Amino acid sequence: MPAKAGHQRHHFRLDPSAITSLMMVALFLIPVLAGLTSVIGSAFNYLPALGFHTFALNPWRALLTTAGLPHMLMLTVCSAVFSTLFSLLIALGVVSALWGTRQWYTLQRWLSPLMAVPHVALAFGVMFVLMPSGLLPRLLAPALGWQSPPPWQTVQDSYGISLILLLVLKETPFLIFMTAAATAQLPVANTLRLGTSLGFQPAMVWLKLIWPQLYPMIRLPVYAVLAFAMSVVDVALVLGPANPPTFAVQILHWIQDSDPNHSLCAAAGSVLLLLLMVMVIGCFHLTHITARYLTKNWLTNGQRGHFGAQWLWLAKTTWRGLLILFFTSGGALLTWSFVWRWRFPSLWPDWSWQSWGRAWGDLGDPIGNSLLIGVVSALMATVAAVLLLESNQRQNNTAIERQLSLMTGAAMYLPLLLPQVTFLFGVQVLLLRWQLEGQLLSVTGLHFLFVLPYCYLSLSGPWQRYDQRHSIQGLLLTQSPWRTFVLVKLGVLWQPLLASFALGFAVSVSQYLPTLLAGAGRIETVTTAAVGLTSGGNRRLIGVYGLIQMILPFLGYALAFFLSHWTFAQGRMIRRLNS
Amino acid sequence: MSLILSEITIGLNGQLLVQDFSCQIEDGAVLSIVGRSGCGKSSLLNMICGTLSSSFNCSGRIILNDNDITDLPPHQRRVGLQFQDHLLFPHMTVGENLAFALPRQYQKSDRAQWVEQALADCGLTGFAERNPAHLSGGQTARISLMRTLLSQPKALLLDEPFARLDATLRDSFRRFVFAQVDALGIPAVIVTHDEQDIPDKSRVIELGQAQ
Repeated sequence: MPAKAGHQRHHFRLDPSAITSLMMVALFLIPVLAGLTSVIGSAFNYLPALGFHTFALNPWRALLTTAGLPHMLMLTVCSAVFSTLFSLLIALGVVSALWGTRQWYTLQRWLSPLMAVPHVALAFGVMFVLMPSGLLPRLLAPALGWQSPPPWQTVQDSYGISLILLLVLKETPFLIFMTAAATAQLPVANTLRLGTSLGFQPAMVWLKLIWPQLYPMIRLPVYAVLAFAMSVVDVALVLGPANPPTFAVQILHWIQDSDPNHSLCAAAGSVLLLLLMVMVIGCFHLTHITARYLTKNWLTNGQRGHFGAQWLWLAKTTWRGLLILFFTSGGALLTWSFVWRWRFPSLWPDWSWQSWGRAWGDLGDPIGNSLLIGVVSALMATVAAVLLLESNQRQNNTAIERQLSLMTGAAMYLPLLLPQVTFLFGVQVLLLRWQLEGQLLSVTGLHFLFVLPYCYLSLSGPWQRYDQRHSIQGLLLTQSPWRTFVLVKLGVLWQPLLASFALGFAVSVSQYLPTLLAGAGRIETVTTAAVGLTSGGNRRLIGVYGLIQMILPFLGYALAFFLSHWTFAQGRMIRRLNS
Repeated sequence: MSLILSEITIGLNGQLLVQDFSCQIEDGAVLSIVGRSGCGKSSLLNMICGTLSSSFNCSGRIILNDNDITDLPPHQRRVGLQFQDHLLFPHMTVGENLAFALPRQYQKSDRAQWVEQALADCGLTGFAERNPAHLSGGQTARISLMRTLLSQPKALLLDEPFARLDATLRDSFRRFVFAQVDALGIPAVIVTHDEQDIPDKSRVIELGQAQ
């Protein structure tokens, strides 16, 4: 009888999955690479949309003669490197200190809502706590005898300390989240049991045995944090130094300048920022390799640890401090949104609804746009992430297919690793050329680019852990592949799917630069409106906008929770579909 | 009426796991397949039910009740499979797990009756609204088997179905399974490591030796 393997071909089709995967990745990467190409062209004086048709080095000459350039670059690198290092150390410390305890499970439950809070809203909150007339100086005033705000620059300080603090506050939960996902793939409990049975302190087991395995697994998220910190614009506008600002903020100023020569300078600056970032990430990588080499002897020197308890205490205490700052910032936003008058050093303001009444008339469009763009981009991204994960899962048979699957995963990190301002400027130039600037569709499409990686990464864990035998059982119970996929696989993964949608919505709500550049000032979301208020300095209105910006992502999570409960907790959806 | 396996050959990465395996299992009969780990027992079951990964090379024909099902997709083969983990869908209640398996043409009221009857047959009346996570190992195993049987399979494959159960449960569940197979009169194939799992009068084939 001739060899016959045809009966599998019905269910494990390779080519369509590979094609779907490739097409999705291509669709996703085209705008990113087109943006990059466009910005590189502009950096060399080629910007036909603004009448520059010849290649030249003028933009670079203009850039390199900019006053304060070294200071701006130093500020950018230092704030990014320090905030990333602090966040990483705190995240690893917290994971090491709390792993396996009851607090660990509580922490994991609260990480998503912590991450969902938009950067800008948190930046406003931190500003209201730290500024000279903020909550913290008011608390200290009675003890220190202050009758007026201290003459210190506690926010927008020239060293970028408040910016670093905000980045640490926002990125630590993300790194804890990624580290927690990585620990799930390691035999942590057994390693701890083995290490402590050999006489090592638990902290030392983490340092010597688990961290060396853990760090390579969270390397890409660490680089993403580093890239974000180097290119962040919105929070740098709120908390970062103003004169000179960080380099990304300076690029944005150039982009928004009416002088077309400044647009070329912005393009050259964007390319320089990209090069700087590649260099810093390269340094991080080299440092890791060097540290691995230098700690070889330390790993086997038999030292079982003396400082473990203190180290864990420090990590836990810092984390608690960050949490206190987080919740105080939320409280400060809420308070300021209802303030009428608040004299220093009083702790109790005069209350009023006036700010809400004043803002309410202008809030309709920003809220509507945020909701519409957020829901559509999150939905699209969740569906696209499912398609990509499904096609990846179906093509794990040959080396080429596995490579393709790895490539998809790596491609998802590209928008997170590239400086937003770099390729978004290029995308803006293209949108301008195709007359797509200032349209809801363009803004939603750009949001999709940033939302998809988060949806993909948040779903990839549950997708990998899904027991394929459920689907096999579904098929063998004579349900069609489609019904099995919908009723069994999506049913089992329903909660992660809803969580992914909520996360995507939160990511979309917090997007500033994509909305600003693709919207061309015509599409206003809560985030762009809030950042726009910074220059005006009306704290009451900032409080209102910041609070709404903080609440919107929670609406996404509330919707996800409600849907999850309504559809599956009581088995209602299954009953409906089965009846 | 029977399950016929004809000249089944399964290979992986150039290595032959099963070579020219042929046999016929009559209705109500049980074929027991034993053999060392990695000899292709589970692969053979996967090939019969159509879920063998495409990374395997396979050939041969599978005939069920005079119909060649070799090229049919899994959901059209009418072959039930019991895993050793007795996986119940975690997002459905016990009743919903059972209702899921019923053919679609059944009316809503009939479905409820079938579910109740199945629960009664396995001694778990009143368990319809229970969450599968709250069942014991034996209860899960019985529900899982009833679910497979409710899909009205024409053949039953058992992949070490008793391996995860303790000695007491194992014995009672074994009797329960073979009583069901006998009552339905369908061909069954059991893959096992344990000789005690082999029912009386069962034909035994040791894979890797008696092909």
